[in-house]
Amino acid sequence: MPQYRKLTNIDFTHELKKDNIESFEVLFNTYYKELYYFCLKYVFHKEVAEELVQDLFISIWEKRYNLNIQSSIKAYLFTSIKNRAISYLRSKIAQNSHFENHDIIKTDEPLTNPNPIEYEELKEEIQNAIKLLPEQCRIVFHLSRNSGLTYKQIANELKVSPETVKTHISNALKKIKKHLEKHWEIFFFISFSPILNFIASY
Amino acid sequence: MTDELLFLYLNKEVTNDEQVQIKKWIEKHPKDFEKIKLIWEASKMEQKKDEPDLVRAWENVKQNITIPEKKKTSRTIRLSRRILQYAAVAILFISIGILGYYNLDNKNKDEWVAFTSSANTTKEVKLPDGSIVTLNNNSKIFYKNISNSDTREIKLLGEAFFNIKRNPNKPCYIYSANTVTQVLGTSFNVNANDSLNHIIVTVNSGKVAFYENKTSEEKKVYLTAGEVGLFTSKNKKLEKLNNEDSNYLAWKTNILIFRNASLPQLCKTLSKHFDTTISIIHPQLKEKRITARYQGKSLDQILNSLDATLDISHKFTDKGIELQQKE
Repeated sequence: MPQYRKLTNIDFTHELKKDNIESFEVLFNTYYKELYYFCLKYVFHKEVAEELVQDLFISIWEKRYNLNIQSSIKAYLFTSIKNRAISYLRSKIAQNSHFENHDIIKTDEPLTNPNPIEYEELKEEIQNAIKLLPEQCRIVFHLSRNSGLTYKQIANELKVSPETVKTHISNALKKIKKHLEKHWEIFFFISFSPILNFIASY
Repeated sequence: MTDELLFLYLNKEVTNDEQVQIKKWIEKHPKDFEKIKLIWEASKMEQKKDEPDLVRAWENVKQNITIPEKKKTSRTIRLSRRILQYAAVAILFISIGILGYYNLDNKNKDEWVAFTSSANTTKEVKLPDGSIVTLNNNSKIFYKNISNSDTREIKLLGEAFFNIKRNPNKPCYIYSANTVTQVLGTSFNVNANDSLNHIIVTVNSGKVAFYENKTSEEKKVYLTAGEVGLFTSKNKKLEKLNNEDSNYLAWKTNILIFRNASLPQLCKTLSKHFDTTISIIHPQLKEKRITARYQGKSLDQILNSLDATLDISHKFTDKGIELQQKE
């Protein structure tokens, strides 16, 4: 495997046009992981993120003779993968639009831990609840928390109204809260009992 | 106060006015805020938890791109390009001729084209879409020779390794006995030998869907690298397993790998690979373990090396090969 080398923009595009597969591999090794993590923030599925990043590299190689990169190659890669991730999410949302009003969360789903009392256990339970959200709702909720996009930017990227984004977030929170209904009291009781004791001592 | 406003407050996406209001509200409702805050904290994705496999990813990409042959010096390039241009034209004409002839001749005949390997050699077949299929001994594939169809279809008898060219617009279906393996572009091994009563799909890279013919969507099994799909013809059972057989591709690569394998395991693998029967005479030998890698070695060479490392001996009998304690 070729060593990691610093190559400039011009080098890469130039080398790719010369069918230099070694340079392409250097490019791949330099950016694959970073692009994967970046893409994961948008799509949340390991397999999907890997597939999207690999597809990007395949398409770069296939159109290497016509590649015209104005910015830095790094900026080009990150812009491209973001566009690919967003268009993947958009297609997911379009596919499921007729489910929009259906409440598909299963509240009778068996819980992995019946009595979460530690923070880590509760966290796991919350993550399980997120997995059970309807797909559109989950996509919006995750994007809001992890992609660094504001809700207005999310609306813009997914081509929906800002109100829709807010509704999805609101629904997500309601459903997660409901999922954890039985756990809140005991969790709060245990984790905040010093305060309760403090109050009680008065 | 609405939940999503609290959430956006934590995201720092609220106006200054809103922020003041929310802070006041929180003082009065600490518990309600705590719930949203817990959800907010827990929904942060943990990064770098699982590293992607860079080597495998690169293999995937490499398999799905066309890498032109390396060019020589500039002078010969010019010359050979010219020749290549003529050659391309020539091939074009000839191929049109053949295709035209073929189409005329086969108008009403079966569209399936067959490739067969002989009893004791493997065979590599390149399909028109660039996919490469390696047939094990005594195996046969048929592929549908239509360029304008939306799918690629292959039928398999026996065992073969498929390296399918990626083409998301033209999914590829492999039919073996009563199962279907669906791929977009990937490499994997399908073993549908009659004697086994099983169809075994082992995925080397990429992802495939494996299922019984004419089944519903939810009965499909999705397999990725390192996974095995097993279909048992008798009870029509479809299972997904981890690939524990490091030698499933030995017939193609001629490399046998054993990692702390017991002697009975080794005998089983060698018997299959060399199409013979190797048995253990002394039961105490069954405890012996071996770690070894044999590349392109003959059965004799392997047996001799086993004798030396395990302190055993072997002899050829009517029933096959017998391993015994050294006398």
